[in-house]
Amino acid sequence: MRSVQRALCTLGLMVAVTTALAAQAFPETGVKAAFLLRFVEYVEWPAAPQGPFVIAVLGRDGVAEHLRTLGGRALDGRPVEIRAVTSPTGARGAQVLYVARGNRGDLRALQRSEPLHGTLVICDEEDGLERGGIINFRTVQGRVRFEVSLQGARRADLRVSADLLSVALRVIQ
Amino acid sequence: MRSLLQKLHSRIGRAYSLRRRLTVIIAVTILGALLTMVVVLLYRDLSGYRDSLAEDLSTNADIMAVLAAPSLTFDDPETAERNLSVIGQTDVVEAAGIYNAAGNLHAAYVRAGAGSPPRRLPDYLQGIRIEDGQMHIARPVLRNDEQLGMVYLRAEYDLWGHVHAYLGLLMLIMLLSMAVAIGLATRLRRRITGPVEAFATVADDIVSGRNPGRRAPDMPLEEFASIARAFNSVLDESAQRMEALREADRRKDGFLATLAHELRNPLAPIRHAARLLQHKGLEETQAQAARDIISRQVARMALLLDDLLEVSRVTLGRVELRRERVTVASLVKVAVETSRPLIEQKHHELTLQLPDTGLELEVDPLRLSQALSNLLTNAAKYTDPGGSITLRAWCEEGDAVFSVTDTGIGLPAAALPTVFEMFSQVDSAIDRAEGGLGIGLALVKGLVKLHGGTVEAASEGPGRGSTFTLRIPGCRPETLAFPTGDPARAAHNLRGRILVVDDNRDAASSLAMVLRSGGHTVVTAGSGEEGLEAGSRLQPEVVLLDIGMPGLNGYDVARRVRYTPWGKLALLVALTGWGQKEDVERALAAGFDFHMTKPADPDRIERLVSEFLGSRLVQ
Repeated sequence: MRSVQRALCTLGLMVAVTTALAAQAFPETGVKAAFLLRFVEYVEWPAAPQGPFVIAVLGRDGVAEHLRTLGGRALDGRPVEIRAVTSPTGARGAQVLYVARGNRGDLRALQRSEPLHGTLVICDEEDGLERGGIINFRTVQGRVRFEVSLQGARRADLRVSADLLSVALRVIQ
Repeated sequence: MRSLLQKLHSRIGRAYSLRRRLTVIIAVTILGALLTMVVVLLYRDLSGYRDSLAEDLSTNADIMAVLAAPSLTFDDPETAERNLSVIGQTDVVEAAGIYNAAGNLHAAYVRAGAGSPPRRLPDYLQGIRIEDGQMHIARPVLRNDEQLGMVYLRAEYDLWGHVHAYLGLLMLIMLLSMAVAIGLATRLRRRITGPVEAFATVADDIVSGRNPGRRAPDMPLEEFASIARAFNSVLDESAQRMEALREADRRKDGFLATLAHELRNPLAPIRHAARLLQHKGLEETQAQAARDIISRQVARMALLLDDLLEVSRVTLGRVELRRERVTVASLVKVAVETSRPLIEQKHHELTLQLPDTGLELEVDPLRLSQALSNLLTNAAKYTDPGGSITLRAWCEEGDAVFSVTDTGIGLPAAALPTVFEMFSQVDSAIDRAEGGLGIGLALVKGLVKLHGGTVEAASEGPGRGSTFTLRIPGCRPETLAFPTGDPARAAHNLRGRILVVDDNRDAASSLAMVLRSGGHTVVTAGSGEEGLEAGSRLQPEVVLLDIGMPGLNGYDVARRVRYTPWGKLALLVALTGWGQKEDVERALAAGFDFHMTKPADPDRIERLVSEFLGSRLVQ
């Protein structure tokens, strides 16, 4: 019963995201939120812990708004928990940390501190990767693209699928 | 018109010679085999072409579907197009497209000159579809059971182009193999038609008479070799037969000439004597001399004709032997008696060497003694006066052997093989006064053959005499003395009543006179009716009937005679000029006991009558 529910949830989410992708009719923030959820499929976490799939959100922007609406849904067979944090350290233990646009200071802090083990840091800055992001959204000619830092992924002990890399705008070793 | 048809026919006949026919057969066979091969190969290739194209497209579509997933997920048509262009390099795919979940074209690849993929993917396009010379394939792009979109590939499915290219290749191969096969078959065919053509030319040469002596050459194949052998042996045999026929023909011509000569010889003295007898006031001694001449010459002529008829009957196997047990001595005695006049006339010395113990044979005494006397007469004829003749008889390995040796003109070695053939005469013998038709030895051979025996001639050469040897199987020691079967025994003391019927009154009266001289009572009649009347008065024991008579003929008279009381047991003898087997059979069927050809030998008639009367006496 639970599994059916979960599957239905996933399906619903997928349809929503895919539809968003299909025409890019959604506002840019919606596309980014959908991408973010999709990244989960292409990333492997070290020994996934039991419990909800925690997405930490730092700062406020359109994407963060979208993400907040996803709380209670399921992802990768786990209920999604959206956790608002105020500093990168607050994201410790979360699977994903989204740093909203305009929080460059927090990113810098993240870069200086010890890397967050097991947390996929996603940001949306011109130089996001250089500032400690593992995946960074970019908008090219009106389309949402992204770039990946393999170095950052390695430091966070995450594995990024080659499929994801094949469609990345830029990959930093 | 007719000749035109024949010409046409012969031309067609030539056109369809064995060689051509074989060539056609070979070509058709090879062509049939190759065409079958082409059809099978084509079928295999076409189904293979389709399957392999479908497989190629499927594989590409599968790869594409996997590669397209992330690009669809992250809406990245550039990457998708990069991926598609890689597939485009396989040169199978002519156009390809990736469609998003909504069915809109996400990325496309088009080979230069080809049509682009559809903007939207038609719903019906699922799996493989062949349409308008193009193969389409559509595959869903799945990730975690979610359909992200579709990939679509299109390839040129040019079946006819493929058939043309492949068929062209096959035809080329077919023509080449045809040429090779026909070339090879032609070489092999020559081995078969070669000998047959050789036969044909040989046969043509022989039939057209250009070279009748030609023979089939040696053949390389065993079957042809044996045909050639058979062919040649048939030709040899037919050549031999032809030669034998020519030889027989030559002998017959020679015989006819001799016959004419021999028949003419006695005619001259007869004519002279007859003219002499017509002379009035002829002295009795002269008349007697003339009559003697006529009688002698007629006897000679009759003997000649008798021999002639006899030999033809014997050699044709129409004589039935009347076998009885006789002693060798009695056979020799009769033979010597018959030929003694000539032997004495030529002053030959005759020596007989007979076995001490009596030997007997089961033979026809008349025929065998005739054979012996023929040999003796021949010896006497072809030996110059004062020569010596030896007749030996002995028993050897169950055969009775008789040999007649003379000191006469002998035989050249070349004549030995043919001396027993009819009408053959040694050249040197022809000129001799005794003459003869060259049938004596043929008769001997025929008679001996009838007895299951053999006869051989041997001579050391011309002028050195010759020896003739008879072998008759079934020789054994004499078991008992028997008086019957001794042909020498002539029952002269028996007298009978004889009726002679002949429309030729001279013939009838002359025969009557001869018979009367033997002491018989003889009455003559000039016709059948007259004969029947005379018969009822005379009650004859023997009736001598001419066959060819006006009114009732001999056959009719014989049948009627058989119905009379006196005629039932009478001896009926037919006298005719015709000695053919059919005549004899007809006579026997009409009721005759015997059939004699004219002129009948009075001695034979006398002997027949005596034997008959004797047998009746015994009964």
